[in-house]
Amino acid sequence: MNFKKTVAIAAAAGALAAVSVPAFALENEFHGMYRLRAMMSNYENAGGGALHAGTTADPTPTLTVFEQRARLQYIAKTSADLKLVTHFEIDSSWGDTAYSTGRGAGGAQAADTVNLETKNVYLDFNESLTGANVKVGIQGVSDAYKGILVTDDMAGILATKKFGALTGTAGFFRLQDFNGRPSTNPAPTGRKNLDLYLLDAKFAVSKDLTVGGSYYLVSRDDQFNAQNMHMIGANVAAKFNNITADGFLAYQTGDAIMATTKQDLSAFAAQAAIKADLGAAGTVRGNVLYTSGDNHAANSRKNDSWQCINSGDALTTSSASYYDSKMMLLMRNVVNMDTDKALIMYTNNNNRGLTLLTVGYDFKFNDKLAASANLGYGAASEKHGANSASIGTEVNAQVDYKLFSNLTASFQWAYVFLGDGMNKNNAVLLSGGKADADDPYLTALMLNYSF
Amino acid sequence: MCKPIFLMAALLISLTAAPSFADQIRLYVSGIETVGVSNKDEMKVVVQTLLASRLNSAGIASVESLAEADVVVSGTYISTGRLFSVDAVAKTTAGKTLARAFVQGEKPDDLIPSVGALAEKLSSQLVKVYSRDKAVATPAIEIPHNTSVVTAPVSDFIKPQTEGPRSSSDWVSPRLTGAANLMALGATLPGGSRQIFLAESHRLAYYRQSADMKLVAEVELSPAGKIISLDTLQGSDGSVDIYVTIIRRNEPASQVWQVKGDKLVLVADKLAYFFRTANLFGAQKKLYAQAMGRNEDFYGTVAEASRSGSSIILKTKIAMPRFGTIYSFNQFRDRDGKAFTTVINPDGYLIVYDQQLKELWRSNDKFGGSELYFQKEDDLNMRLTGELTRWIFMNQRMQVSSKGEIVVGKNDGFWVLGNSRSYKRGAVYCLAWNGSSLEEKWRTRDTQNYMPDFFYDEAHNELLLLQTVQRPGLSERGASSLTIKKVE
Repeated sequence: MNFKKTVAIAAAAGALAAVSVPAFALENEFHGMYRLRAMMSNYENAGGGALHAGTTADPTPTLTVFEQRARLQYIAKTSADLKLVTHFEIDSSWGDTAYSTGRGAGGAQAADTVNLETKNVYLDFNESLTGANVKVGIQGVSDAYKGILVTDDMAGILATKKFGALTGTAGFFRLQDFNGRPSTNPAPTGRKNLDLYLLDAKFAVSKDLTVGGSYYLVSRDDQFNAQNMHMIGANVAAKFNNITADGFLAYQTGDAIMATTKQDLSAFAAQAAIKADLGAAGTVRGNVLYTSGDNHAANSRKNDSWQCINSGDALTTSSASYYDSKMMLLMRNVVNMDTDKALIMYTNNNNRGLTLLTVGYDFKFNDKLAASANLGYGAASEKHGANSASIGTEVNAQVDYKLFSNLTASFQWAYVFLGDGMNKNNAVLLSGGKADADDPYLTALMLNYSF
Repeated sequence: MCKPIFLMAALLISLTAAPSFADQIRLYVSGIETVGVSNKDEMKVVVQTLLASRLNSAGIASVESLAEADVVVSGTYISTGRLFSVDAVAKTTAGKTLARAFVQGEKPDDLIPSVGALAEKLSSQLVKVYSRDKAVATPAIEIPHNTSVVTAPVSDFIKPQTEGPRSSSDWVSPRLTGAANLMALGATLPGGSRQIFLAESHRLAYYRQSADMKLVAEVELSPAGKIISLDTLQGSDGSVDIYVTIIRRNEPASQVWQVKGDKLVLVADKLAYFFRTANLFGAQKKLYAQAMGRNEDFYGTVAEASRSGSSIILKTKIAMPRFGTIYSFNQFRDRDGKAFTTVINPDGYLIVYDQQLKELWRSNDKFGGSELYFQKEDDLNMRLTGELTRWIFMNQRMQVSSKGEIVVGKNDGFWVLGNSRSYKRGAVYCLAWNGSSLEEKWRTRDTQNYMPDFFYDEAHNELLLLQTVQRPGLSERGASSLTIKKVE
């Protein structure tokens, strides 16, 4: 075949393909956000992870950190039943690095950094045979228990189907394929994994009452041949006049999935939250969360501590949270970015478990100005030999001013009175504690823009 | 190699040889009125058919539907004893008169030749008008070779074709303080003035509209809530209930107000429902309610409702099709009395469902569009969504006329991106179900500004268009204006 013929055939094939392409009406949808948080603190240091008061100097010097985050979401929508969702993120702390390649960088002079992160890429479609909504790909997923097991971006499939008042959800997610670390674990892809299976059901009994139940299976086969953690839970949300309330109870059994030794698990968590609308006087909130801690000896074959799922190659980055507490230092706060840090970073809390009580108050002065204040107390559920289980008492406040309908300027302030388990002199302390450690504080100015 | 050239040439020849429909006047004979005859319906059809066929000539194509026509002919057949007269007028589809003629006859046998004579008269006038217009439109000027074409001077003032002159019957309010999101009509008062209620996010205003528009009363509501719907329902005693749907701290906390004297009086508060008064099937306006669920923004079915003091009694339930909520749906009947439900989906497409709620048709164009929204706390998902709150946008509400026509608003924007919406013009469309799709009957010309709400007052045959003439700022409330158009 000579060159001309080849070109002619290719051109003809191309023309045919062009003619036979069906006409899709693709709609483009964009969303995004930008957040700048300027912080003055004695413990924020633009590094994530748990706050270890014991490793900080004393007295701890004040530091200033400016961090920013932009997110861009592009949705390619073929119809109301089919769309591709992509979500990207650019994080930087002012002054961090320039001319580099990597996430969370590019804030130093000259910038010029390759720092685009891909958060989500998934297909969202309504399956025509069953009428189920299906999401396939890397997507944001949260458990039905306010994220105390896991709330994170993960790759997998999630199907949701409504049967009248009942909504059923089933999902499978591959959290880790340990082949991602071939130097330590040269198993073929798909042989040693951390997988999450979800089954959730919610039943709307009435407009004011919803009950739900769940079964989750976390399966891990990179250590001790194989581990399976089973979790069952029940949740309820209700409204009585001007009061809304929710609660849940969850139980974990099987293997302690995040433990480094093989242990049989028996752990539970319980939560209750209440919110009362006082009309013109504002809203008051109250939350209680308990996750069980382990009270066995360190070398025991049993573990009673609530398991939360961690992420990262070393499985040390927290993927669980309890944002509903509205704490800023005691627990992870929802606006935290690369400096995501808290006194209680994991709901497992180093196998000690967690007891948390918070109360809050919200008030709206007008359409532009709103404020809230919170008080919270956190303690370990098990002391593990420490003299005190008390971690600390936080008081915080936030004022929000809407500059535009989608641009809000906020001022945040928080202070934690460290408990005896963290900084008491001449005492056995909880992990991270240090005698006479300074109380952590934070002041922050924040701009939040979203569209 | 020669074959493609032949094919191309053949295609070009066939294209150039195609008849030029532009040279013909496309004419449609619409209704013929009959006066003084016993068999009215029969005579209408006879005269219409005769005239249509006789008007069809070399220069005129008599077409089958109004949609295809450039010219519309209408007429009257008048009979007094044995004498009769046929009067006809030809107009453009825009309503401009082009030709007028009549013929008379002394006995029924004269009808057919008379209609022929009438068609001749009209034809000659129409051809004359069109050839004159054509001559003006395309002057036959010979351009000498090698002479550069001089561009005609363009006026410094460009008259927008789409805007056109405003109808002299339009009524325009003065500038009204406050960028209102919602509008509802109350009672017509003795003397002809009517009650008009406007709502901003936290403010309800009562106006009296006659030759002018006078603010009678105004109340400011708690900043903790946001008004997302405003509806009125006149009771049998003449009193008007003003249903103000408010979202306060993630939940509906709606209110009912009444006009007492020149004051607005709160008669019910903290009602946990979304409210809407609607004229389903073009019938009398009724009150409907829907609740919010713990997980769903709009829970369960929509129900017809009534108010007794501060309690709401739910009655007949209406099953919603997909995308159907209290604010996005309406219902109509076709000529055979079959019921249909129509919905604007969140993407702005109009969907028609049959009685089994099976989708029958979906529009290709988008309708609706509103900048009004409410927000629900969603901080548990903020790590995933990046937002503390979730935005739920309201949409333009559809009305159904007594003829079963759908009246729907449409806003267009220069920036409609994610949750940032900024519309710049709006229009109202009237659509009718033709058995297979919704067909446009008429539409208004575009407004100069974003149109947050409209109301078709069928009793007065008027269309009320609310416009945002200035958006609210950090310290200003913005401004609105109201235009009332006669639907002709």
